[in-house]
Amino acid sequence: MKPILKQLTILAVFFAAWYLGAFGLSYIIYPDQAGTASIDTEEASKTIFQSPARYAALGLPSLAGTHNNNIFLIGSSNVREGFRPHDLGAILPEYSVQNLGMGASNITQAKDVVELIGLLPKPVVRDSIFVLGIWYGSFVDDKTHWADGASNVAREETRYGLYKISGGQPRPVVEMRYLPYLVTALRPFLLLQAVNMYEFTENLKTVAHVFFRERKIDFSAFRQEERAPVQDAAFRGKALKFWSGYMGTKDRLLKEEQFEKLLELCRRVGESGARIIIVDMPLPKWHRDGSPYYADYELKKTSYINEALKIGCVRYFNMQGAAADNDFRDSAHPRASAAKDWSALLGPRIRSMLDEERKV
Amino acid sequence: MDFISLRFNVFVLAAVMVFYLCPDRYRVRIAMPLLDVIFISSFVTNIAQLLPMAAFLLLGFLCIKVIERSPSRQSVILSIAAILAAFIYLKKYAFFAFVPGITWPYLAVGLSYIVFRVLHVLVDTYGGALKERMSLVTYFNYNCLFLSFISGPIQRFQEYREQERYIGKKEMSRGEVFNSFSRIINGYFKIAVFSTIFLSAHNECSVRLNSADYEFNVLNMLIMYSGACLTYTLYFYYNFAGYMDAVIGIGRFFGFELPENFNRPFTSEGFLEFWSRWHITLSDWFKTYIFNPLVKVFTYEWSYPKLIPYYGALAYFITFFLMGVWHGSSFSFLVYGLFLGLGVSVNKFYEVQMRKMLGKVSFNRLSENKIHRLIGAGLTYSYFSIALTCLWTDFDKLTWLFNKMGFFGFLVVFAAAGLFSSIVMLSVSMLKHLWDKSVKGISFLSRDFYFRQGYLSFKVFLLIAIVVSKFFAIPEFVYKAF
Amino acid sequence: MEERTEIRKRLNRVFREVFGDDGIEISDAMTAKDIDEWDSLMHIVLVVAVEKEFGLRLNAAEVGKLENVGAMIDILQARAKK
Repeated sequence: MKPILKQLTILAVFFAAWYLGAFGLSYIIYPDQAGTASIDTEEASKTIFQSPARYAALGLPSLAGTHNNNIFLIGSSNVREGFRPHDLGAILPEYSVQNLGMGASNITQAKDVVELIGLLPKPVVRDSIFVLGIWYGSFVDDKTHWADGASNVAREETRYGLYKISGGQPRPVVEMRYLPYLVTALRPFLLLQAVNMYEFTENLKTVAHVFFRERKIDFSAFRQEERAPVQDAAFRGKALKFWSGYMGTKDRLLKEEQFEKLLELCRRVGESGARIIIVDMPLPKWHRDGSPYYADYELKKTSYINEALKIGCVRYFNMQGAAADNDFRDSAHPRASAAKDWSALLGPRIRSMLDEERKV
Repeated sequence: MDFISLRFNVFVLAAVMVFYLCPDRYRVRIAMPLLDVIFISSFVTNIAQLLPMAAFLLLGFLCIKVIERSPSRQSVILSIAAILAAFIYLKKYAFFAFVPGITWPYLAVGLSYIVFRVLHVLVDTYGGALKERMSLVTYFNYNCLFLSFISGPIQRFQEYREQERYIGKKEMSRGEVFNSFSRIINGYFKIAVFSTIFLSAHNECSVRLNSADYEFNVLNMLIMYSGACLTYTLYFYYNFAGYMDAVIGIGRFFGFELPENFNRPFTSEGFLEFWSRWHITLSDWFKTYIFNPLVKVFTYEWSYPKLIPYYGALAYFITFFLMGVWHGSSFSFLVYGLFLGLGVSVNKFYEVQMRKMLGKVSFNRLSENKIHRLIGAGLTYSYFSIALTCLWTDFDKLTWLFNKMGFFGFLVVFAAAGLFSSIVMLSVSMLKHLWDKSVKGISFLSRDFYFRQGYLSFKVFLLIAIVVSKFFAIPEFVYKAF
Repeated sequence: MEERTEIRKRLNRVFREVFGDDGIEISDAMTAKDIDEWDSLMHIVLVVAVEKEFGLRLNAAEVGKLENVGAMIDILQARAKK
């Protein structure tokens, strides 16, 4: 038995060496301590978390000890790019802007993010403002969209065993304020996983899921061109085709599921003492006109928004026509120069919402 | 308990300590059975689920005692029949579905291997090959050793008994300990990394075969099917072989030299040879207790030398058919058995005919020919992969595939996938050759203490990183289902 | 031992008959690898021929364990004593 225990000890010592080495290396490669500044998923690939979903799941707990008033930006990548924390923060300087927009999100994933925020201590969440950007793409149903049923955020929550999920609600395995220590302890393993460009492969899964269902995909519709001067008919055609494939349903109707989730999300925000402003995100006119889902979106949206407004903490801001077609670099995302304008519209709207409240 | 879990590894560590700290006289009689019972119990939620297996073991023991006392042809034949009947009943073989089975859930995992051990002891007791009377404790330990309980290897009782005398008494050398740890870690790696990768690849293909969403033309279907087959074989190999690596490595800690189950199976140049390299203890058992007796009977019955190749092929067919059927209780395993039986008989016939046609010398030269060997290896791989389809589809799906692809389709897959495999194997061996040449200069490193330990512990680090971050969804042990 | 040489001579005859080759000369170390046709199938045919020649029956374990000619002779010697 002695040689066995001896070898085991040697292995443990060497393992500790690798662990500590990787630990140190993780700070050299990813020097930013996640969460000490505010969260900006646009910068996710520069952090050790690599993907916005993991950034949210593992980075949000570090807000537990903060005392700022927060604005939480939630939604898809058009939110992430459309409302830059820098721009919004300039208009509302008393707030810390946390950008939690994630590419290819639907309402379920947005709700998952809200649930995570809801786990933070009351002082952090109460009086904060949730900004939920919606567009018709947010309402793609779970079965069509998520390859294995759970959203990326939900998957990241359970990946390292930091949260347990029951009934759609996550519970941290230790108190939220201790979670950042567990996350720190995981850094050597996070470093290893960062190596595989997780964000790339994560979205690849969604793309493959759609691809094999629709039999082909045109990647040129994704091309990011800041200076795209002409969104010609060919480009538009491809983009519309892509989004149709993305949405999946053959009858071109949206399922009620995600709208129901929207109401749950609003209630959840209300329960945590915060407020939410639902922003109807801008799209190029050709996209709105060309999408077969748009009409159904307008139809279903109205009744559900009215329902949501009955929940005291909810406001609605329609920005659909707020941007000119030229503001977009593709079918949904703003050019960096145009994003400033979007914040310039949203900021004051939030400001007036706050002023109203104060008057009451 | 899953092998790749904290629970199991803590259990093993505790078991090792118990073994060595335990006084000699209690080790075999108390410590071993206790550890085995703890391990087995981890698969059930209440005692009742263990009763059928316990009853089966008891039946086996009683039969052995009867044969010890009065060894006669009747007693051994009746015993074998009783054991087989009990086995078929408990395993719920589909063709006996009309017999009312036990309705409550019970543990059946491991039964497929226990039956081999029991039958082998029965036959050897009758043949007088066992030197001493069977004790209940040794019988239990032999059948239920936690390491080989789930999936073998199938160790002969005589070997086991010899090793049992010395467990916990021999000290391992430092080198032996290191090699065992190395083997275990490599085994875990095969399971956690390689088998998972190939299972994912396989699932990508098979999901598309199964779903009505995807409409394929025939060519695409053949390609998708080939992909599903070829990847499944590699998944199966890495999963099973990795498991065996861990079992054998851990076994050494206790003083057991468990027999090998794999010996570079994909270097086999024919289907017959394949079975001397794949699941070796299984084919050894079938050879000793089914093939040999069968051939003996045939040879006594029909002593004309000209008939030898024919009743030989028949014996091969029956043996491998039974081996295929043993794998599972549903009808698709009947098909699996047919595949196996057909494969070996055709292989044997080919050998015999070729030897006759070409004469011994030319035939040997042909067998040495590199291209012949490469093609043989490729076709063996593709044939086995096609046969394994029975393990990842059910009977309905099999018939659907057959209708869609037709016999000709399968033939095309066999040939094309075989050729493809040959090319892959050639490339792999060339790469390996290059690699060996280039690391020859630094081979002294592998003997250096720091390098060895550093490399092994790095593998541990990677393994833990992979498991903790659920980088791969590690599949359950594949052979548990059989 | 005289017994052994006698056994070896008889065994050699059996080998020559079974494999149809009068040039075979067996030695203790000889294994299946040394004769082309000596595969699992012919092994049993050989065993049956040995059983018939020496008037005995080998059990399953013994048959499986006959790795080389020397082992065969050992068993035949042991059985002859009984």
